Amino acid sequence: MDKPDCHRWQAPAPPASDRKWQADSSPHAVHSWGAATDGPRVTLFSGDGCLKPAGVASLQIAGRDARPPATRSFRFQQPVELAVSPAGPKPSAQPAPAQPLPGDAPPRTTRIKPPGDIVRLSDRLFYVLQPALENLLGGTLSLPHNPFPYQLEGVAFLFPRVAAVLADEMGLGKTMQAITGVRLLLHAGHVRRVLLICPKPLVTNWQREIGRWAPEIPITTISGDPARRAWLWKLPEAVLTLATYEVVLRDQELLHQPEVSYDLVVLDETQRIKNRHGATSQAVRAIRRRRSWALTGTPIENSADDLVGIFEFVSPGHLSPGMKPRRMAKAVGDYIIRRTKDQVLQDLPSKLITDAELPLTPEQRETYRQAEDEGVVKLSALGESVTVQHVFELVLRLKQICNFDPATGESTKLERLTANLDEVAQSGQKAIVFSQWVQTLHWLSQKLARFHPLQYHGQVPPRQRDSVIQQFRENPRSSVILMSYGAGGVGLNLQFSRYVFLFDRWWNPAVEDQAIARAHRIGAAGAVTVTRFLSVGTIEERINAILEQKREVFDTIFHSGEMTPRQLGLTQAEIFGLFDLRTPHGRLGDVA
Amino acid sequence: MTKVSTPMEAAAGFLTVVNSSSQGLLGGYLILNALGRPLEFHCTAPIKPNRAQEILYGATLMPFIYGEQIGQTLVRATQLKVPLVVTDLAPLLAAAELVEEPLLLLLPQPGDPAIPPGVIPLKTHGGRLALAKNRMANLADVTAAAARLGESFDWHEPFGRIRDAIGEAQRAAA
Repeated sequence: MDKPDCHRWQAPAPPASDRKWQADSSPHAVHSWGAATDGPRVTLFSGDGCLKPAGVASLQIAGRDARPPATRSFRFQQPVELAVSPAGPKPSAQPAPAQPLPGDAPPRTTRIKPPGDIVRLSDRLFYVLQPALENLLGGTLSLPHNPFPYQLEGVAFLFPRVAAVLADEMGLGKTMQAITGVRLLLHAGHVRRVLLICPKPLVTNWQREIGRWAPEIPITTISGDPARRAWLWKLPEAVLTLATYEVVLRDQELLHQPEVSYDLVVLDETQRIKNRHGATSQAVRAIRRRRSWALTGTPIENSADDLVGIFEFVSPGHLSPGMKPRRMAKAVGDYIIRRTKDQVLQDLPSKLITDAELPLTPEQRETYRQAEDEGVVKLSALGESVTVQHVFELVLRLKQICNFDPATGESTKLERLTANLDEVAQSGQKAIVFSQWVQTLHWLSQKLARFHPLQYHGQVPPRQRDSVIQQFRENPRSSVILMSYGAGGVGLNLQFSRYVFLFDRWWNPAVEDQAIARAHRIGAAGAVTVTRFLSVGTIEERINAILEQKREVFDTIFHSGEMTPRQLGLTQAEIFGLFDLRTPHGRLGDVA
Repeated sequence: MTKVSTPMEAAAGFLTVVNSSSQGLLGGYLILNALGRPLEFHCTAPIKPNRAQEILYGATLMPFIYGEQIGQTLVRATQLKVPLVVTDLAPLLAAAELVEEPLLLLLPQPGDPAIPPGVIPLKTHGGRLALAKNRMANLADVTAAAARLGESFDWHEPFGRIRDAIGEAQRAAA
């Protein structure tokens, strides 16, 4: 066990030439005590377990010279410069804070504070002496946009911690905070190999967010057949490895081999391991690692023992089942950070929009490909007699496959929605899910039965609609209401809902805005989180690109009144342009 | 041509003293690279002159303690080549004659009329830095070295870090 830092005065001290850096097992620093000049001086560690300094040094007036004070020195590990991809941010020189004008409040700074479980002084000083996060991130590591202050506090919390739980409410940006924390550790040279484990529906989200927030960090995603996965697990140059819980469970023998270890393991949706006797929990906990971070919006789902399960990964043995809540709260205080939207309301915009760009499942992809190929052939065969209605029918069919594969029921959107609704329901919140199809809403109603969904669309008789809304408002078991854009888009006040999901996208963003406004209204209880689902590499992406372009134009000239919301929708030419349909006379859209 | 610093290279040292009512004077010296990250930190044990020493040293006591005892000791504690050392306390300028590194004073306010004797404000960096007069031969090098940290570098900020670090070290020793 390390001796506490202590010193006492001794004289005479060895000459300067004998001065040596004390070896220190600290990962961050070496330090030494010693006087800096020749002659009578004072030094050094007490070897007898003395715990108190001998007081203060007095100037020696008599004698050869006054003695200089003892100094204590710390050298810090040098930062590592990661290769930055050409598209990534370029290192810039120093932090460049704007110079405040007289009367300006000083710029807000977020400092890294060492956690209580870091005992060694050199390690604590390493963190105390780091520049403010704003400077660290504004210097060499550029970000796509400025984080909210509470997000910087989250990063400052994670960065120095070997064991940490980031338990912010859903929608506050746990992903971004974790990525930035990992990025800082990689650049500081504190970690070299990181494993990130997440539920399958969130893999693409993590890939996308890492690409946005840390473009220079290479990602190795574990996927494919067993041979390929075995090869990927053992890639020596892998920096950030991304795997699903299912893959970790499947490959645990490989992952638990002695030569496989990580500097940091990050678990997303950590409630997946709350059952400490479960196979997933055991597979994850057996991974060799130096640091353990857990991300969850619902650290406690059913009972305080859920937290025990999470801590068996984060800091094994720190909590025990049946612990009294007060004692547990005290024990975890320095390990957990949790902010709710209410707590950070002043930092938040009233509406947070997240684009969930999801790939189709392999089965969905195959169904989609067949439908598109066949549809395009049929449209082409129609030649110049093709109408916008023909094209529209194909678009609708493809969009429905993006929602779910009618043959197999596979749906990445459903997987993601379920994961998000788990968190919404566990935190006692309410969500609205919009779709343009009643058929999709019926299907969702079956799949989301455990959330006791309510439906509100054209097939619900008008006389029943008020009671549906009342039930949604008052029944705590009903966490979600499924709405069509047509029926639920206007005239309803659902400000008590903090979450809106657009399961599929409407043709006109102005209609989507109206739907979002059901929850995001004057008097809303807090910030509203909007998640827009989009299947990548599909017709949805092509439509979205056109609509976004139009929205940009709309926003630019909004005040001039040159464009009405109606014009934000797709024109006939744009619908034709969704497919590259050609005849001997040219593009179909041009000749129709 | 502008010199590009590597992460290992010292860009500047920051030297200050904390006056603790209970313990006395504690010196701190922080060396940063051009990215503002810490490379080394050195601190002294507390010094507290007694009444007899105050009488004997008279007006020379503070320059002696700040400059010779603390400033010189700390600046010599590193083996890194530091192109400039900045202090926020005028008494530490007494170390200027004792160390090789050029010593600059950070003025409390840009263009402060109460500039202490013995320094000349640099024309760059908004007049916030002043160089000891006896080091005017280093003016060009110092100006270039300071420029590497950027025109809008916050010269006050590192001193806050030093004070926090001294506090942390004192708590650890308590």
